[in-house]
Amino acid sequence: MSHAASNSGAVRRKPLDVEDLLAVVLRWGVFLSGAVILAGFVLLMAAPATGAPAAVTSVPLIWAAARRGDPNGIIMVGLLLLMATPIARVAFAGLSFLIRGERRHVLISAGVFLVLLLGLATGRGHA
Amino acid sequence: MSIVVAAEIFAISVGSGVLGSLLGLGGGTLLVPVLTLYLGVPIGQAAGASLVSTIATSSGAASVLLKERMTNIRLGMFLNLATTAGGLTGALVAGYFSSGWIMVIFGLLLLYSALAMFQKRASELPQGVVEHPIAARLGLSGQYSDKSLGQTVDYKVAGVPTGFGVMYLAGVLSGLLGIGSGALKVLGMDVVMRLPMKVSTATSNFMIGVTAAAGVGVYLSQGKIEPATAAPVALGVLLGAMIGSRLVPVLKSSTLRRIFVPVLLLIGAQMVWKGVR
Repeated sequence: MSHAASNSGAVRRKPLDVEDLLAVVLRWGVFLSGAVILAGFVLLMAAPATGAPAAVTSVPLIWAAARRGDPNGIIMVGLLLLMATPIARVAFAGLSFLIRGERRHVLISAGVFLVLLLGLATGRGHA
Repeated sequence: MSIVVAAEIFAISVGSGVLGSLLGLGGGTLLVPVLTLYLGVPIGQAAGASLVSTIATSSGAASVLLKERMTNIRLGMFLNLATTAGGLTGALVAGYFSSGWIMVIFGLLLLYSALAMFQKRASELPQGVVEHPIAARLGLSGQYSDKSLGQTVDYKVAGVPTGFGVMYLAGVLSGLLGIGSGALKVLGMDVVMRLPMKVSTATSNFMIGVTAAAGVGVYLSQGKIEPATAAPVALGVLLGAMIGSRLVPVLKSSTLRRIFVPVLLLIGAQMVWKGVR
């Protein structure tokens, strides 16, 4: 009985729910970025920077500062991870629509991803 | 920065995250005035903190709202086409407009919406919604289990073209004024597309992070994301959003509306004030 029910369910159900996949991706993104930001912030509070703080206005500068162990650089790495979570959301949504064979929604996600990249590249997009 | 100031930023950020995740807003409304007026943070850095707050609210609340099926991903992604394209448009034309009168109009619109929201404050679920053909073709209508009502709610999506237009406008305003315009997204879904309140706020919550992400590059290069301020904001908002998103399933839609009204008044008044100044 239950075997038959689960069988028919398996036939009708699509491979995975987009919602569940994205929930996992975002939970991990949030925990990872939160942990890095927290680590950097604890360091910053424990040993306030002496002299002028390092410039952290681009990804290479941030990465260089973080590798030197500069608390500001570490915080910014965490913030970059956090700010990447919406981009990951669009990418993974598109991917799971692809797996589920929802062509129209694959196209829509790809469109959003493209405009997002365009905004990032031109630096003209806004909050 | 002293530990005390950091603790204050953290505390206000927790509150901002709770409120933002309940209502589908980025939290800049509460955060920016407190940071600039009370804590003396420069306006550019406060705007950067607001961007971080929007993304933290969106991602921090998302996993719970997704699991509860409050978020309509297909609708959110479809409407994100309009908000991101609008954001680009707004940023491109930003130099050619005086933002003052736009802020006043937008502010008045929100004040008017607060009145409309107040009038339908007791409304729990939309009634008699006719599904728009585009919504049917894209499979945008959906269902979620509402714990506060103890029932599964099936809902349909109406007014797709108009709603898409409202989202484009919300995007343009974001790009033009550098604000999140989450309030306008929620109103568009609630009033025009006639979604249940919780689906409107959760789907807006999903969308605001994506719209905000487009602005990361420019904020970063302009040095508006200042680590010592942004860190307690991000941590506080993430915590607040996790708390707020767990409250959404058990709160009634009418309760969310009652919280939304004063927040709309606050955002609207801020806009008018900034516009006429």
